[in-house]
Amino acid sequence: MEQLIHVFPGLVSFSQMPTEMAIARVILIFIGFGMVYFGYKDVLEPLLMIPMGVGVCLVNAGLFMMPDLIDPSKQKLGTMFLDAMVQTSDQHINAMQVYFLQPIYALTFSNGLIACMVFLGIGAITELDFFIGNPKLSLMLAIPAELGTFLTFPIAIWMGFNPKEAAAIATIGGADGPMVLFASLKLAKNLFVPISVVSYLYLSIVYSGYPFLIKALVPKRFRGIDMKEMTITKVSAEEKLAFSIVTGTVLSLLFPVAAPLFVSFFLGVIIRESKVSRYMFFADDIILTGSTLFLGFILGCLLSADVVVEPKMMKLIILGFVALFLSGVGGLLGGYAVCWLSKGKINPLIGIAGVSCVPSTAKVAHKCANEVNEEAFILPFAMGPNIAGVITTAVITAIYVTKVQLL
Amino acid sequence: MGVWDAFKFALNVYMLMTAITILVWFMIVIIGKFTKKG
Repeated sequence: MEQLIHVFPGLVSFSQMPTEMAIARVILIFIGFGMVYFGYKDVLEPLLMIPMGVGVCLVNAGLFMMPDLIDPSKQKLGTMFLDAMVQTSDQHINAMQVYFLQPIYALTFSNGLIACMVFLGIGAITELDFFIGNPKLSLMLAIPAELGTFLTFPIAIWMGFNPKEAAAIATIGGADGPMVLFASLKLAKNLFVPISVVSYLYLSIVYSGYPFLIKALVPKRFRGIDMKEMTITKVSAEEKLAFSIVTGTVLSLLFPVAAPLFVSFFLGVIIRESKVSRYMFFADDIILTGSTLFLGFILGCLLSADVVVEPKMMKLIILGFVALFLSGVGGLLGGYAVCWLSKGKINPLIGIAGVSCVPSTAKVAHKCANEVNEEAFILPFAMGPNIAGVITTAVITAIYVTKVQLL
Repeated sequence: MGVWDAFKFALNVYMLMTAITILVWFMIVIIGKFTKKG
């Protein structure tokens, strides 16, 4: 047995942990396989699910008894990946000598940099034309699509979370991964791993889940409205640049706590619109791709068995679902309202695109309309509320982060 | 914090978001007046 412990410490570690954790560990290894497989098959978002699945598999397989960096006289179950529990500067420096992902985790997760880098990349691939070309319609649809972000907060309080945790969970309703990551890092560091993982898992199934909600709530005759009578106003690069600089400045002035998010997003947009090709390549191909890879992989590596057996995990899974369900319902209600106001010229499905998650919800709206009427081409109209959804989500996240700290 | 207080707080946040969103709309309209069209 002594020899076995030295040669195969990972295998032996199953007997060194509580039974429920050992079972959770095996289940998680299979879940990791599932993430990679469904990511490969395009059922789940491959960009995130493949690295996350690999991380989940490997971190749960690679557990073994090792010296505790916080208290070296003790031993604990850990991996050679990273230690999220280190707090002091000394512990961070020591951890960086031991764990290969610790430098990335310490320098990009703890301060929210990874969320800002993803947001910068999103800004660099965001096409503002549809939004600025029709701002009233786009913003009008994005407001009701925040219903989940609004109602999940009191529901989370009712389920026993404190206000900071509830606010971080509520941001899942905004359907924007970097925003959830930023809010949970700022407000509920103890829950940021389960909140972020639940959020990204749900966001990756939005594309296959929302069509059921649409079919349940919108009759065929509304789904097939082709919107041929609507036009999109052309917008100049100068207008988009001016909008990005002015809006970024005003929002940073109003909510300094969330200024890093606004700055990152609008910097991305400005890089795109100023057409400096080398910066565009850097923001999209390098920053967005690299930060998405490490975001997925590190989140997967943080999803060890002890996180899953956390008693609050089941509540988070329910609340994540409730948040996105309510936002979807709110978006469709907004869609019905504009459909009625336009006397049936606007397809109500573009309302669900207000639930951010660029560009999945806009694509879902277009796909569902196209299934009923092949001539319905609503994607350009759906992209407006989709981008407006990013802005309303950033604003509501900023308000939550600012106001909840004053409670 | 009670559930009713939480609801009022979230409603307050939501209304503030709506107000800021309207401000963003105004900014787009004003910027549109001072920049050339595409």
